[in-house]
Amino acid sequence: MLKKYGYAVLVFLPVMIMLAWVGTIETERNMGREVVVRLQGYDPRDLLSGHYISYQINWDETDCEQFENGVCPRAAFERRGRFYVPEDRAAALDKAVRNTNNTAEMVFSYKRGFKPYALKLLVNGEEWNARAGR
Amino acid sequence: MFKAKQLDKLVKAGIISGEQQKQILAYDDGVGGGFVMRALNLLGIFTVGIGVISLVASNWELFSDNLKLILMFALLFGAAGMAVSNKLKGQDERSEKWLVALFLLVGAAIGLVIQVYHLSGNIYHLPFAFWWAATLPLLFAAKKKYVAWFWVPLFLTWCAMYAGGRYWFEALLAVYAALYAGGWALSKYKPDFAVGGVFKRDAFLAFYIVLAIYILSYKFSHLVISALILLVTSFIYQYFKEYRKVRLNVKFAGLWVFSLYIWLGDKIGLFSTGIGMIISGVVLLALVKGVSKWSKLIKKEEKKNA
Repeated sequence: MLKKYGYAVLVFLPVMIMLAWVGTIETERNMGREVVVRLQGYDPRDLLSGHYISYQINWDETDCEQFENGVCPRAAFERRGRFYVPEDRAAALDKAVRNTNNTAEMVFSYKRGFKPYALKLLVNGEEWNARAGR
Repeated sequence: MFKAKQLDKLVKAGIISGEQQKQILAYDDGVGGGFVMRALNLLGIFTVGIGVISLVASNWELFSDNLKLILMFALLFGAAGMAVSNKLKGQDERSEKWLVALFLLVGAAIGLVIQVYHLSGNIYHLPFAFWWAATLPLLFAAKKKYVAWFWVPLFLTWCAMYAGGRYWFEALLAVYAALYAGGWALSKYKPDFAVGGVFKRDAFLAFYIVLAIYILSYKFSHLVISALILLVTSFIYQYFKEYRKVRLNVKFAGLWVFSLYIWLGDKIGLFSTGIGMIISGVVLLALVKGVSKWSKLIKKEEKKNA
């Protein structure tokens, strides 16, 4: 019987690990407050590329007043990141982000001491899926 | 391994009987393919894994993110539940197959979570590390080699990805050699633990793939180190009477001489004059002859010791 329980524990362990991972991300995401960071696009080179846009944070044009003491926490954010979008719209959106006439911004969930999570992509102040519908 | 035509000749010459011919061919069917076939098999398995991840991560557009996650967990729990339920019913074979499905689903689920939460993670090998680490318990649950056939290539590939950004060849060769030794020890002292045999086979294959790339990178330091590796391993194989592996080293020695020849040719301009070309051609012919002769000598020694 113990052997059978042991087997079940081993088999369900990967599922529990996944559950714990997703739970941690959800908790950390909900703890943070929304901050808006300016973006600039760059050419992505990645194994699974094609269904996301690659961005780079533009701290020079980001409003640092929204952060504690008015200082942008540059070290807390990864300099480059990815925002996943449906494959058929990725190319158009990537172009829009890299177009210097547009303003691209990312809304992050941010809490000091925790990893920031990307929530929404804004192009000229509008959420990306609103633009894609046009 | 054995060609049917060659066996026909042996039967006609009265060296083996028709029955023995059948037995040899039947044995051949049971033995796995050669070096290249095994490499292609590993590549195929890994490509399937990557394909599953990208397929799920990029094409599930019809559902909301929450629904995607719910479906993902339903599939994970379902596969794990089926594995346990089949095990309880004594259907071990089915249970093992569900473990493989669970292994692949975890990979796909990692891809999905990365997509849903826009996890950038500029360390590209990290999802693979998470995949092998999360599915490690399945190796201990499995009694057959099916899960190991997928897990081990994933782990070995991750090792290459991890080393790729840091120490690369030398460290990777040392890791693969250590994994081979570990697999050998496991298969000898813990034969019930299915992963040992797979580690032994795949780490050996991975070691020689990396060694071939290492030798063909035409660097003097690589030539020196690879010569030492070939010499040391040949002595070890000889000591353990692993003649097939000695013969493999002989072939790699041929590759080594070829690499040295290209390196020297580049340094002393061997390919830029007529005489140089003649010398190059002669060296190449001698190389081919030498490898086959050396191989035959090893075979003779093998027969002597048999």
